[in-house]
Amino acid sequence: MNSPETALNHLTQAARQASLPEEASAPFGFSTRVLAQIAIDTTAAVWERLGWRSVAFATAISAGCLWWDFTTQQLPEDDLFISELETSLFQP
Amino acid sequence: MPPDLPALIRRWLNHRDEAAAKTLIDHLYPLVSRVVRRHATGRDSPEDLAQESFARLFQNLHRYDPSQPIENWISRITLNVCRNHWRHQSRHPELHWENLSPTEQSLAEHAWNADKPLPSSSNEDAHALMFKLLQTLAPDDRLVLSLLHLEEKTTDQIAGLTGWSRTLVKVRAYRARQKLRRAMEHLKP
Repeated sequence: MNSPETALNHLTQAARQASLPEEASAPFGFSTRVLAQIAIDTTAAVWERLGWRSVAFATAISAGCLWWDFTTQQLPEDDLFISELETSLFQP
Repeated sequence: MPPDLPALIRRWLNHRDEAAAKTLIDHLYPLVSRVVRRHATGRDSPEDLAQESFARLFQNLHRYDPSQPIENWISRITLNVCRNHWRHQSRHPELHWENLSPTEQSLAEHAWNADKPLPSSSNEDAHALMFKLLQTLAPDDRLVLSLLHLEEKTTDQIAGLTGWSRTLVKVRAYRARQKLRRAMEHLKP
């Protein structure tokens, strides 16, 4: 019995000489299918890019709103009254 | 007369000229088909793989370096498409003598026992069996051995086609060959 290396060599040598079917020209409609796939992929890529930009825009707007809300907020009048009362009561 | 490829590429890039794209596809199809058929097996669809390769080619055509032959570039893209396709497929489990068809068993028996190479009438069966064996390997191992042993590419050519360094090609081929040898041992009658 041969070694695994020799057996593999026999098999490889024969496999290498196999004549595989070759196509001289593209099947009918192949190039149209390729162009259609490119169009679909391009449209999908545009929507994906638009989607990510929308997420970034929405995040920026939310962050801006939060910042504006935080910087412009004032104490409610009730809170002001209580704080004034506390100050006046505990002052010596 | 071969088409003026750089002009066709420019027409596609500048004007999205579909006629130019179709001429380019028709010109490159035999090459892509040959690469795909050398690497695709029964459960792959060669036409789908060829279509995916062309789609990738056109999507990345703006990155193409015109100083290099486009044939090398499309071969590289096609091999990458095949490799990615194998990655998404489940790998074949180990192949054993009992899993082989009677024709494959007689072929394996011949390979184990004969002093001479296999008869030329069994070349196609040998190719099919070799592919079954290669399917038990990881995609990168499978690719390097197909290129090295079935297509008889040199280390430099494989490095060019895969983007790996020459050292990586050599190391990967050596390790893959060891794995293939172990897989072959399971096919002992």
